[in-house]
Amino acid sequence: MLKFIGKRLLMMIPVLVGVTLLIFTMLYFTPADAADMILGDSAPQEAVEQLREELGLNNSFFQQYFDYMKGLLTHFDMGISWTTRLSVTDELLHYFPTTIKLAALASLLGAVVGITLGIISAIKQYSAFDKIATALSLIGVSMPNFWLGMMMIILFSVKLGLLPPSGINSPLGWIMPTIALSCQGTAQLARMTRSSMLEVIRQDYIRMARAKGQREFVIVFKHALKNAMIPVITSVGLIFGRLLGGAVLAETVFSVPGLGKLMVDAIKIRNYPIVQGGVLLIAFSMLVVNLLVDVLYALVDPRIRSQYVTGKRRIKAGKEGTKNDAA
Amino acid sequence: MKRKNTKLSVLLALFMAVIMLLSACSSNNENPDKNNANGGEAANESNGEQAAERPVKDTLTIALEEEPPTMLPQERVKYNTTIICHDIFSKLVRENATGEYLPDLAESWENPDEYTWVFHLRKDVLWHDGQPFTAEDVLYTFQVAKEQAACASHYATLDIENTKVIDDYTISVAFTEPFASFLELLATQRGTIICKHACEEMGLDVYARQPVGTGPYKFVEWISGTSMTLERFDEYFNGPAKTKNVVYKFIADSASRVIEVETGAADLAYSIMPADAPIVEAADNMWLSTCVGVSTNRVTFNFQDDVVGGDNVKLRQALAYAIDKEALVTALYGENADVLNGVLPVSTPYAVVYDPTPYDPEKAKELLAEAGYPDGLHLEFLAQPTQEMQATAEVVAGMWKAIGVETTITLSELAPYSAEGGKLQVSVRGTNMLAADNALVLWTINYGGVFNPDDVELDGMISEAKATFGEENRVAIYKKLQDYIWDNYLGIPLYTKRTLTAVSNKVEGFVEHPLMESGVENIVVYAD
Repeated sequence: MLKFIGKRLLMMIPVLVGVTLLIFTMLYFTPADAADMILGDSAPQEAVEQLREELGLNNSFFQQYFDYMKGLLTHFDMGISWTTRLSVTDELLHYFPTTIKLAALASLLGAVVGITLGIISAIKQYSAFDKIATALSLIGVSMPNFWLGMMMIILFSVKLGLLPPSGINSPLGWIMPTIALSCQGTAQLARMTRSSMLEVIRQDYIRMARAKGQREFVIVFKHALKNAMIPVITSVGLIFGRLLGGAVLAETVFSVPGLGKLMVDAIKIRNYPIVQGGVLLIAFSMLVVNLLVDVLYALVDPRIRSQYVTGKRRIKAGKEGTKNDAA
Repeated sequence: MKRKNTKLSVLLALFMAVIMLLSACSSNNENPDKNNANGGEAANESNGEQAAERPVKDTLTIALEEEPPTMLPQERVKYNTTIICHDIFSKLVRENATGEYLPDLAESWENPDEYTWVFHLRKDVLWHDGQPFTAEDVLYTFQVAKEQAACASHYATLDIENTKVIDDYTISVAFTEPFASFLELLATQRGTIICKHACEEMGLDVYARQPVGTGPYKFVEWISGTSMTLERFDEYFNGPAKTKNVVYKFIADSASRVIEVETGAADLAYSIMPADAPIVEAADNMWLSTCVGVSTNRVTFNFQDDVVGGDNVKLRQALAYAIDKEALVTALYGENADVLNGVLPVSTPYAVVYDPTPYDPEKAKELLAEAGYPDGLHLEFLAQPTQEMQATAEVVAGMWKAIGVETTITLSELAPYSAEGGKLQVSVRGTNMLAADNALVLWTINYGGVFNPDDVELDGMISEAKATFGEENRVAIYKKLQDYIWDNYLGIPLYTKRTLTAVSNKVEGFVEHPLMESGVENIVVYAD
């Protein structure tokens, strides 16, 4: 297992190098001059030239990329933000925790509500509840979170005056962004839990449990849900990963000072170092979340755990299996 | 078995916790909502009469479009930064609405000769840390300004070696060339006076995040991406401000800023987009301030181009006659922009208003024929890549098409466009400066090059304007300059956008200003 994790960690390196190269190249060819963007149209030419020199924009592409990677690998230096002149690493670390918190809250809410809805829908298949839940899930999956966010602002802030329209200065400020962000995940998890549960409920061992007179509650939660949870856990992880990078629009709508808003603001004024660092951070978090999901998957499901058993032990395990089959 | 049950109960407990949280929140908030509703009615009934007794809030909250990148005024000049600078800092002089320069940190000033400005400073000014303000701070500000890229060219002719502190409250500023419009520069963000001892103790980088000034409000806290909080400075030399705290919230989206005021989360929202104006006007708890602005868009020509440049005045005149400015403004902005019939926006000092260029397509066609293009022609049209510039360019292009002038519109910034070998002939560009010199920057050599007519007469007048002292003489030279630009069609002014601000009905003392620089120290916010 440790070897597997180690291997996965090593595999992250080429992916991250690829990401940096891709982002760096794309931004390099963006037809806009950073020095011009920073100083504005009315800045004198010599000031623009001076800034270009200072920022290393006159160096060759490879020189610029090499300098960037050197700083990144030696001391996590991703350059300085071209507007505030603060370290990009510091800026990202200042904004990222808010995004993690928001993504975690939204995933949690999505998991709790989505799984609950999914279970009820599966148990009461084709009931009115199931049909309503299905319709709501369909709407939830197709509704963009920023649009939902704006509608919620109109309803809860403007019309009812219950919640603050922006910012997360008070605990109340977290409610709308969390709900808006969790909506798609909730819907997705509800559908997934439902179909997964339905599949399990039809299995022989469930009928067996029923036949032996087990209480329905125990059947649903112990026999069925535990087996049905495996694909759902993966989804929760992936939803969390997606929210880390995908909260951009919702953060902008609610003025939440997270990574997404930082990046949108940076893109507007061609603040490349922030964009580069942000994308890199998102890619990195996605990789870490994926790794954690894989590990979690193995921990929960013995069938998958057996795949990670190496060499001799696998053969041994295989033999035991054949023996058991034979018996 | 037991463990599994625990897991289940944890799951259920979480679910219930979320439900409770949601319900708790809604019940908590019923009360404020009711209060708001009642308060609103009460305010309408008692309008004005009981104003003196109305309870006031201790915090003024302002929704601002953009977070300042730095609070070192000379490092980056942005108008959202200027707004906050106005609260924290002071300048030597300030400009009033009619373009006069009034004493601020400087009590009086004189010019012993054309190359020198002497300022006599107020003696009762304290920095926010309690230390007295002196002429050393002014000298230090100029030293820093000369080193910062955003200011260097503006202060290029300031002779720092010969600028002398005469005594604690007198400074003599020397120039290598006569600089008559120095007061204009001093009244901008670039002239903001910074604190020498604080800068030296903290270093400029730290000062840029924790500014110390002499203004009506002192800096308290800056939460990146969220807000900046200021607190009243009781020893402010013009008397303490009326509201104790000011909070600037950074909200990028115009519609969101409107909602902030509508819901009472903010009292003022600056930089409202014309598209959101109807929402502000329709709401009953706020009003829309529409101040004649300085943000001007105009058609400019590439004077290095053989077709539109040089002395081909007839062609440029034809293009001007073909544009129906009224229709353009109505279509794009409704009432939130004004047709500009002059070289400078009307609120700029020395601005001259001319008789409107008539909209006359027939005359335009005649002029086109006289210019040597009886069958029309094709022009390369560059517009900055924003929605508004694109819309403006498209409308103008449509009007030109009616007289036989075809165009190809490219949306790009100038630098990358030129770098890729683009050869623009006409473009729409914006300026948003209050000072006349800054508004005329478009035609100076400094500015990008292609818009500079390379006209000895014009360059001479621009330098002359800089070096002319005495108000009457300045009015005359700026008139001459504008006449020249207007008569030779060195550009086609289109419109000036209005400065739109959403103001809560609870706010009293808000003063309109084209660049939102009127200050907030006299604003009172009522609690109900």
